[in-house]
Amino acid sequence: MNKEKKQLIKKKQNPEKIEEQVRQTSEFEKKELFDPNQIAALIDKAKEDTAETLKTNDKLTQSDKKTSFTTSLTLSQEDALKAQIFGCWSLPLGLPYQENLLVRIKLKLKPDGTVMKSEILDHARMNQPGQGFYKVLAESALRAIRICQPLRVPPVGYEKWKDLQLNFDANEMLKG
Amino acid sequence: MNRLILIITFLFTFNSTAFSLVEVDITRGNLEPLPIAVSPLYVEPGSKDIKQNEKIIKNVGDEISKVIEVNFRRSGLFNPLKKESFVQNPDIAHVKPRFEDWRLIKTQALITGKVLVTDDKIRVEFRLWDVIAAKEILALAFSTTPNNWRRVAHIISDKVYQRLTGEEGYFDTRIIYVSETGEKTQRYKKLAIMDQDGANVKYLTLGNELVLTPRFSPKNQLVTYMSYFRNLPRVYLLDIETGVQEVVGDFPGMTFAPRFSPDGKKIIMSFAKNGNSDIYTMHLETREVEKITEHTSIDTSPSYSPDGKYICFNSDRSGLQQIYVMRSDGSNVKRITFGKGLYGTPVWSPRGDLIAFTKVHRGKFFIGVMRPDGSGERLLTENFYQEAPSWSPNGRVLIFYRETKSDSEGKGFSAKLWSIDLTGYNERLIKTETDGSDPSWSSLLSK
Repeated sequence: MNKEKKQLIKKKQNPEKIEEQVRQTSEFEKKELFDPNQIAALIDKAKEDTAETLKTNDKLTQSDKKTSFTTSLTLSQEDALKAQIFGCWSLPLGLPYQENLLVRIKLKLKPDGTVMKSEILDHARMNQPGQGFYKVLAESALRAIRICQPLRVPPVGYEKWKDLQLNFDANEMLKG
Repeated sequence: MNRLILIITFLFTFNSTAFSLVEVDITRGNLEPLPIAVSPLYVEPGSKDIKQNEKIIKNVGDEISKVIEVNFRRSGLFNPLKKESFVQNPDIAHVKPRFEDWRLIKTQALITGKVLVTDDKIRVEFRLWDVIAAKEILALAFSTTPNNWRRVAHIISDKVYQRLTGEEGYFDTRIIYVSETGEKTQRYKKLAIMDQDGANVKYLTLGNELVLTPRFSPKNQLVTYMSYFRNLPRVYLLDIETGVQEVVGDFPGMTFAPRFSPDGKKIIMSFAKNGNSDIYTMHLETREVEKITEHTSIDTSPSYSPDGKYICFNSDRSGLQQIYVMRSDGSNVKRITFGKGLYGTPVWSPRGDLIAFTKVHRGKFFIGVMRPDGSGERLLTENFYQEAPSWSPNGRVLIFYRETKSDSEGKGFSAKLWSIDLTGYNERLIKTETDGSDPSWSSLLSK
């Protein structure tokens, strides 16, 4: 709309003589502007987008795997640990999609996989205003660790994994 | 020198390898509702029964826990566990629960509490426990008149919801709607209001005049709606708290869907002048009317963004009914829908991140959401006929109405209120005494 051409009409109520009789209709009935048989012909084809109902969207995605070079665990050892924690982690369902919803927790483990100490690396965020979602996610991650322990760790190589960092990343699931 | 650097580099690399922290990314989890145990609130000795209307409520502690459970189950985010599985009795309200017992039934959160009713007061105290961490994470107490016990249950639900999800709740709210009775060809329509869970229904008009499109103010318990006086549309304001009603004005031609501005000071609507429908605002104090759109097409269904800077609306200026967004002064109009079908009844989310709409495509009606620039369209539900979405105050749930197909004589027809959340999975019928249409969700009463 050309703003300059627009005229603002300001006046007191009651505005003017009522000319038309009005009947109750719905937003869609009121204009009676579409004949279902002619919709296809009338469709604006300038840009056609498709949208599907969410009912069909039921996928969970799995993130890229880290290799054993960076974790000092073999792929199968890492998979075993992941699978265990996946089963224990109840993701808070109300979370919105936010790119920074990543909770990093550093653990000190006993040789049997029991957690001696857990530390949220960005703990300061927990009590910051506007970080309610982060706090909820961090608490759910801590619950998952507690539910899961003793963690499914390798029987050997304790020195390699006694300090373990778990990165709880909800983004993949929230995107879906 | 070079040799020294090499040695230092080697040592550094070696050390970093030896002490590198093992990192594992956890990117999957359960998407099941959180298991929660709502213990019946302990009724303290000497507590009185509550007389409400014709009913006598003997164990209000049990009733409050039931209301909380229903709220949580309907939210789709929580799974309240069956009370039969509870190992501890309600009298644990005073003490720390035996967490190991609660872990046995796989709950992750627990609500306990106690209640004392005297002649003119009810005092409710509750605690929320993280069962896995074995600690209390919320404790609050409320006092009010005994007949307000349901509101206390809703307020507790909101507090727990906020603590466990990180977002504001929506349980201590009301829904205003049009109650419908009679045959399809001769419907009696009354304005009705109820709690968000369908309780406490009250009828606000008698049904002798047609009422339409009630809308809550986002700021208070004021409602605007349309009614027909001698077959002509008239816009009203109604204060739900005081019952005071006033006429805002009579408007010409086809008048549609008055809706409040975010600050509650104006209403925005469309009406036809000289056969052309445009969008207007009216300042409620001065009653000044301002024309916002000036176009030969039919512009209807305006809704403000929560910051008041933009308006989304419906227009057929492209030849088909589509959704447009403009600045609140009417400038910078942009079409945002380009998908197949017709789009209508756009409503901006109170969070500002989405616009809800009704879409008609191939004879089916969809309720969906999209971002304000038109991207990310998601259709949440599909049916024979449904429209008029209205947002919960936290922008997570939509309420709308759905009609059933009737035969040529109008038999089999019904109109019901439904809700659906943003996941599209949690669709619920909201039971009402009569048929219902045109629902509008209030803001939080306790805010």
